[in-house]
Amino acid sequence: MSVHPEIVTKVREIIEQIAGRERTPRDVGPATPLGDGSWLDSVELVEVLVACEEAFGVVFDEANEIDSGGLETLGSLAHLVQTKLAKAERVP
Amino acid sequence: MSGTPAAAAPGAFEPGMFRGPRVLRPLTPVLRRVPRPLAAGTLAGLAIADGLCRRRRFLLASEWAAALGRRGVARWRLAFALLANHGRFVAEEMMLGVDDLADLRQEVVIEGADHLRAGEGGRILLGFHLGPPRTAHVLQAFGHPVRSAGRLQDVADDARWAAARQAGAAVRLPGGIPLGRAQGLHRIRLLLKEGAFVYLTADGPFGREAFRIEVPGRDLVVRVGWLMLRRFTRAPVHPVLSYREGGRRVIVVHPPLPVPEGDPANDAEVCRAALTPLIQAYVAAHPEQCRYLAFPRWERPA
Repeated sequence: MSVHPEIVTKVREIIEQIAGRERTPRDVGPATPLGDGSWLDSVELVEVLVACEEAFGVVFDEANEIDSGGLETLGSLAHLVQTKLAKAERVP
Repeated sequence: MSGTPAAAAPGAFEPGMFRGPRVLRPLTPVLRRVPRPLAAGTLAGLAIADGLCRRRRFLLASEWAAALGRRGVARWRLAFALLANHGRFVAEEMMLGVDDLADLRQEVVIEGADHLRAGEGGRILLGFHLGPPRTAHVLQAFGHPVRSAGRLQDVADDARWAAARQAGAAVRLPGGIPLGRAQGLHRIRLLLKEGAFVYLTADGPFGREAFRIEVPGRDLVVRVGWLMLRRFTRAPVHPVLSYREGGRRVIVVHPPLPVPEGDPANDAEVCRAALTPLIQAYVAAHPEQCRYLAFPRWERPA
């Protein structure tokens, strides 16, 4: 399932806002890892989740969706957001 | 995902789940069969002998005592008390002599238990690496609906811990790679939103530093994870301190920290101001129980 580019862009903007532009790699894309320690720390990762909830109007209320890879890359997080929006029938 | 909100989960644990240092594993079956005081006394004696033989731990204990202003005989007395405390700590960490978690209720006094009444929303019970271990499990043994969060090192192959995690009775906050720790923090956030009480420690080796609390000899480094959880969930945060006094263990559940206001930096400062007198008073009163301050294992936070 491909992820809508608008969602990827918005997620990227959210992450950049939390990490700061100076700490954001130049070549960020859907495959960029989020949780390997090269970009965000653990608290920032949760801050990203909360910011995504607010920005997209979704709720990450199941631990499994995060445990099973939802935070591994920018693309997987965007995919998770898209899945949540699809459930709520609000896909852009 | 986590069972009934705020449900007590003592049934999720059994004493054999709590392993000790690898070096003690050959002795563990024997140590588990002897009464608790004897097991604790044996490890206290071994810790003193180890400290004297290998010297490094004894020198650290002696330095700690000197930093606290102890001189002459008082310095050596505190150094030996620290070594003995180290052994007792390990015995309690392994739950030696504990046949059933209900045994943990023996010789325990809980002050401030009113703060543990269920039904008033999620709460963070904020522990520190001071005093005896396994505070969350002692509270569970009294029927308090407390979940514990921690590194859960060296238990990956233990199905009992997997079951405890699945039930939401324990949350793993591994060190190292941020992803695993973020998953744990997210899970705690969900538990707090469901109304659970979660015990986690403010200090430790992992996570970004929030602030330091000055104590003689070594600052206590407080991490930022619990501050983030409190900000996002608005869960009250109760500092929990525990100490040994004679033959009993005292657990003090303090009133909640001030409600978070303003930006994260301001909130951290408010919490630092509230926690500093508690920690400084603890160190002054129970210096022999400050194992992690005296024997620092965490020189390089990841």
